[in-house]
Amino acid sequence: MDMDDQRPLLEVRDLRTYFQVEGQTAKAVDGVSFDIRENEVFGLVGESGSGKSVTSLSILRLIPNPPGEIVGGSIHFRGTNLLDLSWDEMRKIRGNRISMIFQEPMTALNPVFTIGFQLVETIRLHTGCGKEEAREKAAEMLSLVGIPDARKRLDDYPHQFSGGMRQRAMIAMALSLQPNLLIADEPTTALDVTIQAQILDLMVGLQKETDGASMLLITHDLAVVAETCQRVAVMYGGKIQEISPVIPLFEEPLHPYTKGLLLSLPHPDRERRKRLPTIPGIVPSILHMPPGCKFAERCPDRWERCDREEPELREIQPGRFCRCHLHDEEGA
Amino acid sequence: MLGKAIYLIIVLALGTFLTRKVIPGIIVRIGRLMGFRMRATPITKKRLQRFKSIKRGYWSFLGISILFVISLFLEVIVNEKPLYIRYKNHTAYPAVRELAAKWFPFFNISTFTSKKDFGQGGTSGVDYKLFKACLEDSKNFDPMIERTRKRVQRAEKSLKRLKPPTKDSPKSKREFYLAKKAGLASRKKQLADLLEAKKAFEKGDAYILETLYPWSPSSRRKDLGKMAFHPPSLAKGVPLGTSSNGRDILTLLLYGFRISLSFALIVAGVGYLIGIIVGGLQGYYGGWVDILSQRFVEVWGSIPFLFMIMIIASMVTPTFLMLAILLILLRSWLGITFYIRGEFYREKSKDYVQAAIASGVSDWSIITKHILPNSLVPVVTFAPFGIVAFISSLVSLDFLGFGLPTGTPSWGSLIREGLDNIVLYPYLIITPVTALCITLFSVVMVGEAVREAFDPKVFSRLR
Amino acid sequence: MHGMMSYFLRRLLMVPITFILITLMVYAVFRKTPGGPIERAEMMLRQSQATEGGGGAAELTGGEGLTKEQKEQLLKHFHLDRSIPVGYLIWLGVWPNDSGHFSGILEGDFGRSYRYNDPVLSQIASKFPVSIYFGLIGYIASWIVCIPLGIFKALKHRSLFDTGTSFLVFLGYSIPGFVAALLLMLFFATDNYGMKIFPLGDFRSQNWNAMWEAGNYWWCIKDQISHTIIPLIAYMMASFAAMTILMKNSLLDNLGADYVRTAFAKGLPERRVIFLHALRNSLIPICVGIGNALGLIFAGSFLIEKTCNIDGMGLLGYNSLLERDYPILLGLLAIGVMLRLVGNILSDIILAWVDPRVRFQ
Ligand SMILES: Nc1ncnc2c1ncn2[C@@H]1O[C@H](COP(=O)(O)OP(=O)(O)O)[C@@H](O)[C@H]1O
Ligand SMILES: [Mg+2]
Repeated sequence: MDMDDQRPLLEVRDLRTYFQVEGQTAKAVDGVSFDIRENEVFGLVGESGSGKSVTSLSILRLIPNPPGEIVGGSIHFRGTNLLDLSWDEMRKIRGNRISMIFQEPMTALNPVFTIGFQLVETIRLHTGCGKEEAREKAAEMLSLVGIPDARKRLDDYPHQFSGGMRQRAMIAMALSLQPNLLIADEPTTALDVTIQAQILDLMVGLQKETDGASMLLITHDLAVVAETCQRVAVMYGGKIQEISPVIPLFEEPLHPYTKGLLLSLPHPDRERRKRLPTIPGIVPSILHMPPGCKFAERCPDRWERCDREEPELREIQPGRFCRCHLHDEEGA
Repeated sequence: MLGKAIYLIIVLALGTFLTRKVIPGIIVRIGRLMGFRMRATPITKKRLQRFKSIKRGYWSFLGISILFVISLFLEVIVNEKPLYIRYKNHTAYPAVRELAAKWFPFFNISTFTSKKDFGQGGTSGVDYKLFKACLEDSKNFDPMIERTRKRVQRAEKSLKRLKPPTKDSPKSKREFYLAKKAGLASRKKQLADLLEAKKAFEKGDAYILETLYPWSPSSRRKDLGKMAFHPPSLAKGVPLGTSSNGRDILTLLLYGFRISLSFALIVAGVGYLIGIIVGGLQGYYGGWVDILSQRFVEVWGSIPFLFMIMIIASMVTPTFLMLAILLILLRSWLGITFYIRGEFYREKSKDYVQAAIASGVSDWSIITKHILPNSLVPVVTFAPFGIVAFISSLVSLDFLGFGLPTGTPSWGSLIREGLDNIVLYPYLIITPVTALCITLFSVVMVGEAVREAFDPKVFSRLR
Repeated sequence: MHGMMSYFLRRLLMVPITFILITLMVYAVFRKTPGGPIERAEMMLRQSQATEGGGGAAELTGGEGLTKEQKEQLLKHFHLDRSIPVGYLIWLGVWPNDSGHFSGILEGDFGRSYRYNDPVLSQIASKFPVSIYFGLIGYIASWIVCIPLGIFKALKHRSLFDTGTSFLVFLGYSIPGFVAALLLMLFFATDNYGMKIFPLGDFRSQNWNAMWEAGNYWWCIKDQISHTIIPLIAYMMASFAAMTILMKNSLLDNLGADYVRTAFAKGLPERRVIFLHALRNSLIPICVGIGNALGLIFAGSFLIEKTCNIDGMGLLGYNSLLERDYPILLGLLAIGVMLRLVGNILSDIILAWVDPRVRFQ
């Protein structure tokens, strides 16, 4: 798929993660493939329920079972397939090589332990350094993410932090071991608009400082993607609909779904007052996915083939992939 | 035997029909009348489905409720009085009347049937067992006839010894003589009746239809002789034995089941209703009503309720209703207020309710249409465990002797008898305890299934 | 921190109010109903004349028929000549009694038993150790059994082990403690089934004290243990099911919490995630139960003490109810209510102690 001679940091191939919900199979992630290169910020966008979180959790193998299970595919991280690793080997990668920031800062930290305890615990686990040293490092990380009076705040409990501060603490925790890959699952959606940008800048900035470090940024906000990512994958209905470098994606979206997403983006030219156009219709229930194109029901450009047959993800332009019958014609 | 089997099948079938078809319909009607929508939302449907899929809970629920519905008609199923009795042109339905008397106490329905109407001679109540025995074998009349004949002879003798009074003998003497004479006449009449009855019985001009298990919890098993304790014996027809005063334990258990369960249902039902109202008021209106009543609930909840009921019961023997009211007041309404308050509080702050309030919908219909249906979840999940607790409370009180009046068929007092006779008559412990445990266990199974259906717990390992 | 203090103060303020309301209510009920000390004394008198036994309130009357003065004296003795509020205040100890002293429960004087004419407090104090013995051992034992069992059940959720023990737990839940004691006694303390291993009731054997003084300590310990087992199981039944299920569900809830996922994502070993992160949180509701159990240790014992004939506070209460010994009943009630109230506050304190979210509110 990738033209680069350099081997990518993370190669996800045909990943399938299914959930058993009330006797039915919900294909939350159904054959997802993408690469993340070294030193790259890779965006994953899509409406909620499209399977972004499940994809990211699958990479760390944090799928709750039951009801979920990774049923197929491979996830190669620097050449080793994460899905083949033992639980213990996987453990050594988590937090250390790949770390993750979750959508919900309010509940992601253990309420009965101090921030310091939870930071120190992580640092000591992977570096094996002494208590004092780890504490030093923890305080350093906290002040790095912009928490004033960091040394004192180490002894605070999570609920004494505001939402934004908790997310900063999470970032500190995730970055304290300089991971090669940082997965950020909608790190700012639960926060105030005012601090969203701050947090994002902080995270991207810190991650870029580390040499060779990449990032998987999950969001449903295309504006964020435009600012921070090099390449983007657009997800819908558990499948990737389009992968593209960020600039061509914004200039000339290939998939009707991407077009819809872009239209709903606030634009400086557009009048403020008018309501943003949103994509009509709702995401189909994951249990009752249409047999053809997952987006067909809401697609403005749909034709009869869309209902019948699911399109393939194909390279339409160099480095740009799209899953849509519209481009079949052009290609054929 | 075949008749009994058919009887049993009919009882079970009717009970099942009532429980599954009739009663739910009635409940829905009543609910509609009160302004509830009574239509299952998709979530409720899913929960019901899940409940039904948990077999042990669902079957326990069906079993308990069918048994309870049947037990409401226990008087026509387990009763020493017959369903129907006929002698010549006299007919009576004593068991049916007893059932009616139970259900409509204010109508003063009499269940009395006089001996003289049913060929037994005398004025007291009919001895149904004797009636039945005579019907099976008219020789059973003979001792009765013999006894009456002796009485006639004795009366004739004593009358002969008396000189017939003359016109000028004192009035009292004359009256005495007349009374004696009348007595003799009535004895003779009785004898004649008996002889005639015997013939009628032989001809088949009499009929009795007994209930399924023709014994009552209120009187001793006279057929077993004078001794009080009879261990269980199928051969003698006492499957579970008799209690210390000779009563049939099976009947005591069955009637005790009805008492225990209806007690618990009343206490839970009324208590939760009060709890919903109080909690609803607290949550819906908030403010100082909320604060004050919460403090009150707190104070009230600190009363050791069983001790309190025992204190009161030690001063006046409580009736069924009084015990129920005490338990409702002291306990059953309290626990639920807290949850309902919380639910109301949460629901009220939701947008759709606020919108309804703003558009001027009345408080009552907001509560019944929007808030209440959503806040009944804790009630439903608590109810089975509440019922277990209230059955246990009644049993405990009866066991300690501070419960229902003596003579009421109750499990607790049977268990107490068991304790008092633990060394000699173990069956007295085993039967009531088994009944109690099976009942409570079934209710617990229902409760666990309800909880599982409403709040399924999963343990997912991350992998 | 500040909010916590004022919250506790409010709770503390509720204690005397609740206490006074409840005891006043019961005091008034007692005063209004017949069966007071006079009837009791007369009955005793009849009995003592019949048996030449004497004792109790009858001693006060000198052993002969109750004269009017004697009745008055009796009424005075129990402050029944005062109005209900005053009588109550005297009982409480904030109003001087006839001799001009304050002597009520606040001064540690619970009055005298109608039956024995002993101080109520000494009666209760003599029974207290017995009840506490069972209550405490039972509670501790159920912790020792229930917490590991609950944890194990949670980790093996829906396994054969879980289903099997659930069945046992629910069976335990549906057998009231005293019924369990009765069944155990039937099977293991009588000869009905040839398995008589335990004594039939009682706290200790009759000659226990003598044996102890004689230095037969080993015998004494064995005797005590064999008398303890059945009531202990009965005591445990009360909290066994509830505590096991609470532990299991609480751990299950926490294992599904977001912070557990975070802990795994950090690379923590599974054991640390479960037994440090999740367990620490799921023990909170269990610990909070300690306070409420305080009252339970006392209140639950009526039935079991009656069943097993253990001479503790429950049996004292039961007998006092039969005898209408109101001072003792009032004393027991006061202690029971107090235990509950203190228990509630204790629960709050424990909660604040184990849960930082509450502590720093
Ligand atoms: N624990 C779970 N149990 C059942 N279904 C789940 C679970 N987690 C996710 N899913 C399903 O997977 C789908 C994708 O969810 P998710 O990846 O969280 O979407 P998003 O793109 O908003 O992050 C959802 O529609 C949901 O039905
Ligand atoms: Mg998500």
